Amino acid sequence: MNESLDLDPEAAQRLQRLGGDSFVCKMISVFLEYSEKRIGEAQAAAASGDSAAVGKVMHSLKSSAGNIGACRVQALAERVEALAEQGASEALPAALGDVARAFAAVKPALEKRRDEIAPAQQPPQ
Amino acid sequence: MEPSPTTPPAAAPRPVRILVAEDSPLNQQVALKQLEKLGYQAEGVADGTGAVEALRQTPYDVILMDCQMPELNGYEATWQIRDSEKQQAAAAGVTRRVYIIAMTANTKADNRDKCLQAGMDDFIRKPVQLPELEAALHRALADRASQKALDKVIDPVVIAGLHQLRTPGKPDPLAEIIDLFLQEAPAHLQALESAVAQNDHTSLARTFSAAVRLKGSAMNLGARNLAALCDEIEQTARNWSLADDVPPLLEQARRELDRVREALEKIRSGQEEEG
Repeated sequence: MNESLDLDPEAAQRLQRLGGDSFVCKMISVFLEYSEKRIGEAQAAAASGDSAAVGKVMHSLKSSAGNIGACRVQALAERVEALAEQGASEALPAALGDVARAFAAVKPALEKRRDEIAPAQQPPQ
Repeated sequence: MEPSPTTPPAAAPRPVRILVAEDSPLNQQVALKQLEKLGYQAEGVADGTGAVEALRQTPYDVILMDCQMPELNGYEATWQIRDSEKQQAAAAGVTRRVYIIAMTANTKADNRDKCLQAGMDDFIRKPVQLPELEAALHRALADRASQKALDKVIDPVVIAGLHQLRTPGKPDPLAEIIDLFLQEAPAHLQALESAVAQNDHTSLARTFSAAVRLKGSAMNLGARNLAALCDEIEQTARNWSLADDVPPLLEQARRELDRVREALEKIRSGQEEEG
């Protein structure tokens, strides 16, 4: 998948201006850990038919992804949120699968970016 | 005469305390970093329950409130906060009111009207951008400053006490007392001014009686500076020259009455909004 479609460089620059390299690294780690956990929770909620819970989790993931610039995750999470609001519970598992795949695709790109920034931050041991 | 003792010395400014209620750790940390960049100290909580509890511990000035949060969402949390502020005002005459700024993606479910109806004061869009945040905080602090200026002119404890007397289905006693004051006080002040201006054998007695009446009206509404000025006018008339020393105080009283009128009109329109 094309990285440029997945990651909005402006979001990264915004975070960089706001808090510098170490802040960007920290936010990437926070996002990766948080998304992984929340996508799992949403999948479990979808499996038990709790559309409202899926919608809430995706709402939160959507804005987090927007802050880090993970555009595809953001757009797909928004789609799941809309489906959940419409009560389209049968469509949720597949739509959540799309979110999970988009996250899996953007994760290495974010890790790579973090690793590129990190050495400048931490002197080698 | 010494300068009027009724103006309290300016208190040292207290740092502004801000709370961020946001369940996404990423968004919360970005908001805290933005606030730090703007020079504010802030703390974060992850849901509405956390916000309600944190406010019990610390008198925050401003809350940045996400609307959609697990457990207690931003609307419910705001409702609880406003409810407990009302209870405190009724029980102890404490009129603290935290300024709440909603943070939402502007959607059908979360929009400005809904936020304002829930008791929030302002609204910024997510993802929160630094200039929008800065502008909203300026609005919040201007609101706080004007509230403080108002509190100096009219004692909020007295207003809260009058507010408490309200019973459903009856005319609002606070509004009635404000209307009465707005009618009577200018007449009392005019009586004072003409007594002093005429400066004849009845002037001193008329000055005393008008000063006492104006003071009484002022005390009813907690217009403390105005009440203190009436005392000073009475003392000065008693001990000094009516023609020379009292007129500057009358000038002060007229200016203070203007401030009181302005403050009361503001309080009154706030009452009407509350319904």
